Amino acid sequence: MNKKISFSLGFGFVGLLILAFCFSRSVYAIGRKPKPFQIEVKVDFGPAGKPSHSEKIYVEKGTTPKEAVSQVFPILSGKTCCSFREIMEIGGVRVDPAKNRWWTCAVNGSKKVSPQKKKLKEGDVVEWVYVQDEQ
Amino acid sequence: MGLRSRRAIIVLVAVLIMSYYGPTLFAQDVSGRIQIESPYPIVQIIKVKKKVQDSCDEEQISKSLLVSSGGGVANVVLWLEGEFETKPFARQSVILDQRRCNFEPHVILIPQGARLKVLNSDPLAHDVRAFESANMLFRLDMDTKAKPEERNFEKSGIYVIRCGLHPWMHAFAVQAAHDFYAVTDAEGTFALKNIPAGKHMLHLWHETLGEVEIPLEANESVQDFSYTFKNTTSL
Repeated sequence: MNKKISFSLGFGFVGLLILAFCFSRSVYAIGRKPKPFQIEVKVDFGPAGKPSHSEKIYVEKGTTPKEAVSQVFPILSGKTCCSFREIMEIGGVRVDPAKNRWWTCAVNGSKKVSPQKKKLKEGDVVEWVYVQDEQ
Repeated sequence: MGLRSRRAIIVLVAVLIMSYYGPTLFAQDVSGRIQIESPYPIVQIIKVKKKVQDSCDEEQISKSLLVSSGGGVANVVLWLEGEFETKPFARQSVILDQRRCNFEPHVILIPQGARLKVLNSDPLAHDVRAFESANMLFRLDMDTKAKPEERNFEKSGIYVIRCGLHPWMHAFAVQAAHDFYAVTDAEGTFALKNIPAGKHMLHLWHETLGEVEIPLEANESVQDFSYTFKNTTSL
């Protein structure tokens, strides 16, 4: 009987400890914003003829390449392929299907990223390049 | 009936006949040739990726500026500015095919009321996208055995058609506002038929050479209309 009681007390105590830990963490989380971190944004206007731009900026956790470039240049979204959230224009330079000119995005050299979904990390280098394919 | 009354009736009938048949009686044909100043641009060749060379050839000739040996420019769109009475809507489809990884024809005229019918005659998939300026209007995922797809453009204008898989593949669909449209052939020649007599503004558009407007007086048929684009290319 005593064993049972002491086991229950011990179990309850551990439970209380876990609850207290979780509560303290959540209070801590609510009270503190995640610290902004630095990334680099490069924009190459290519055939549009505007000078290239490179800038180190601070962004919040969860920032995407699209949101990052919008901190550097005004952007315009529109459906150029698959979603209305795609980049259509950066800094007044718009995609031009007739001339086969498009905006491409790379993070740390990789183009296999979604500019609308990829969450950036500290030190990431985001490159937006205006390209013209042969036609 | 007096002589005056008879004359009045004759004049009235003549006016009625003229108002009905006049535009046709005085319609004119305008034909001619669009060219580019020498030295003529050389043909641009596009290297094709190895994995699609079986179906698309090793090289593609750029369709962006096709010039004949005599300087004639192909694929120039010509149209008259303004509003004209048009024939009843043509309930037809005009065909844009995909062959050897090219859109055929490169510039397609769509009469008012007609629809664009897109085919894929290639043994590989294409991803057809139509644009109005920078905005994509529709996308057709066309596999090897895809059924022909029909679409229409709501307003007149020049629309870009591209393949999302093969970047050189592009064409222009020209939705006509009336009957007075034409496209130059490989030699740069064209013909506009039955233009209402009078003064008009003729528009010429080419995807690389741009757009110009030329006043046109069509009081009689013209067979030797000529316009020479400046060679602004660095080819």
